[in-house]
Amino acid sequence: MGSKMRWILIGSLGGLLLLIAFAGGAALVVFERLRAGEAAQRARLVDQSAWLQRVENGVYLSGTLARDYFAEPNDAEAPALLARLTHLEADSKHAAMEYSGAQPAGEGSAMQLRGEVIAYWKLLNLMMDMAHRSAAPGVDAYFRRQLAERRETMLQIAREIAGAQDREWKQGELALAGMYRRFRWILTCETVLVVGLGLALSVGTTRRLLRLEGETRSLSSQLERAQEEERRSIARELHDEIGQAVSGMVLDVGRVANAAESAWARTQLGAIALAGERTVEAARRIALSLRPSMLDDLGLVAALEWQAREVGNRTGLDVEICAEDSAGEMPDEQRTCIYRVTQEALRNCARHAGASLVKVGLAQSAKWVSLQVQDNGKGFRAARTRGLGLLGMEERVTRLGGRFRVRSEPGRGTTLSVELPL
Amino acid sequence: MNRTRILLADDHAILRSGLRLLLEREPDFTVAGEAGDGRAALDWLSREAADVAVMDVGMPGLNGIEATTQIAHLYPRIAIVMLSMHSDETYVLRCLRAGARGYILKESAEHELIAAIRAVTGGKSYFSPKVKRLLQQDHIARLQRSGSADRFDLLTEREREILQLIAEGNSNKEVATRLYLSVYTVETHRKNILEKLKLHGTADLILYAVRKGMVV
Repeated sequence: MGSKMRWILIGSLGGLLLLIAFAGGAALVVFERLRAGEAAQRARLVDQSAWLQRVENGVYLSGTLARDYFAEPNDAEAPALLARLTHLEADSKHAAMEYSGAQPAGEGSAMQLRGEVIAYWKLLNLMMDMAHRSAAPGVDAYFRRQLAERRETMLQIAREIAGAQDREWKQGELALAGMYRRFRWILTCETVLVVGLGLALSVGTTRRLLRLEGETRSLSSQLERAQEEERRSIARELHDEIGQAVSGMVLDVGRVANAAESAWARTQLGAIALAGERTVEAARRIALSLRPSMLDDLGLVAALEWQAREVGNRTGLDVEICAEDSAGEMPDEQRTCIYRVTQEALRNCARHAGASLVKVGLAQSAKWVSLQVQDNGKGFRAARTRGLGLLGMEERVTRLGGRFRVRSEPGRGTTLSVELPL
Repeated sequence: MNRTRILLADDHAILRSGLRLLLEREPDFTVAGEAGDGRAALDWLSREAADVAVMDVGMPGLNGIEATTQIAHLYPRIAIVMLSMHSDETYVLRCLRAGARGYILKESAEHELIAAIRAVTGGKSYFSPKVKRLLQQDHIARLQRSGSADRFDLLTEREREILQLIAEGNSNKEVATRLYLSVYTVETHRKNILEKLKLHGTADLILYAVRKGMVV
């Protein structure tokens, strides 16, 4: 079960981590793509409007320059004007070429614009040639009308294109917004998935852990009950069966000794009787140390008093029991728990605390029983040290839903308190 | 002649019948009733009278000690002898506190019960010799181990005398009569004894006297 649990945990936690990593990575990629797409669109549109702008500039400026030229075709400034016009021509043609080249194939208005630009310049050049030859005024006026017409058409196309570009820009914005929406949706889905999975995993794991803990606890409580029961029955057998049988034998031996005629036999039988009594005494001690019969016959307080006396006799520790005789009437499990905790605490006091006096207090209400064991020993750092003995006591107490506390400081003795619900 | 009426309470019928045979051999004893547990003993006593109750310590239902507490409270004139498997002081003290004045071990009941019944009906205490011996040994061993002074040394001659008389089962009034003192004086002595020995009542006093070997 342990190894299965481990694989489940590794699998699900690993999966969750992978999912989170994947979601994060995907978010980064999508975000980068969005940013790049937006930048590219902006750059393209900026270029295109710059080209358009150059075409328009070319047309307006060329009109003004051409007018100046027509006014004084033989002026000293004329060659400079011509050179600027030539430059403008090249620039606006180049811009129109670039622009239409950047448009997808079959884009009508761009091609149209290009055609118009070329035609406009052709016409302008023709008119300039004719200005030298001072042609007839009627012809001149015709060309001028033509030129104005061309210019209007071209500017019209440029405006249309600018309008189209605006629309395109808006469409691009819309597409981007759609991409954002999709991205947000994906992110939301991923987040929901990760959170949901994580939640399911943690709830499942927690429940499983709690169940395992409960199982462990009930198992150890069963073990403890079984152990206590076993101790009780062994103690009873020892005391009632073996003790009584040997006591009977001692009595019989005594009777035989009284009737015996030889002094040697009487001495021998006396020795046997003594050995028998010692055996009974040993059986009694072992039985009591396993589980004192007082705990069942006379109740908790009597058992605690006996325990206090025993510890006192064995170790010289002065143990005071403060309890009313009426206290201690409680279910077997609680009684055993309090008794064993006290036993362990007294053992600690004698072994580790170096105490000379221990006070054991027992108080009981309808719902609670509380125990306090206070010694005047050397104490320890309760916040840090927790020996096995303390852990065992705590385990016993918490299993019955009780509270266990140890207060101790070096040099200040130790106070252990237990509260058990009844 | 009025025969001593005895109630036998023990959860083992075989033991009861054995004890009954033993007791009925005495011309001045009669076993007036038997009970299988403490509850039955109290029921029987609510209907009939007895001079002595012989109670087993460990009985199912209401155990002997609790039954003894109630009997001593309800019928203070009934003398109680406890039958026990345990020689431990804790049991002896509980039985004494409950109001019993005789304490004998089951293993030696057939030799001691009659003497115990005669002692308690005569207003005296009775303990199995083995119990007395163990209590005395325990007491001595404890004194030796702890190395502390025996509080008994604190008692005056008069106080020891009074302790002895109380432990034997005499009331304050009886002690006063025996020693030509006023009841008030005896009462004061008694308080002093309890204080000096750090004890809390007649039961403790009797147990202490047994430990000291003062109860024969």
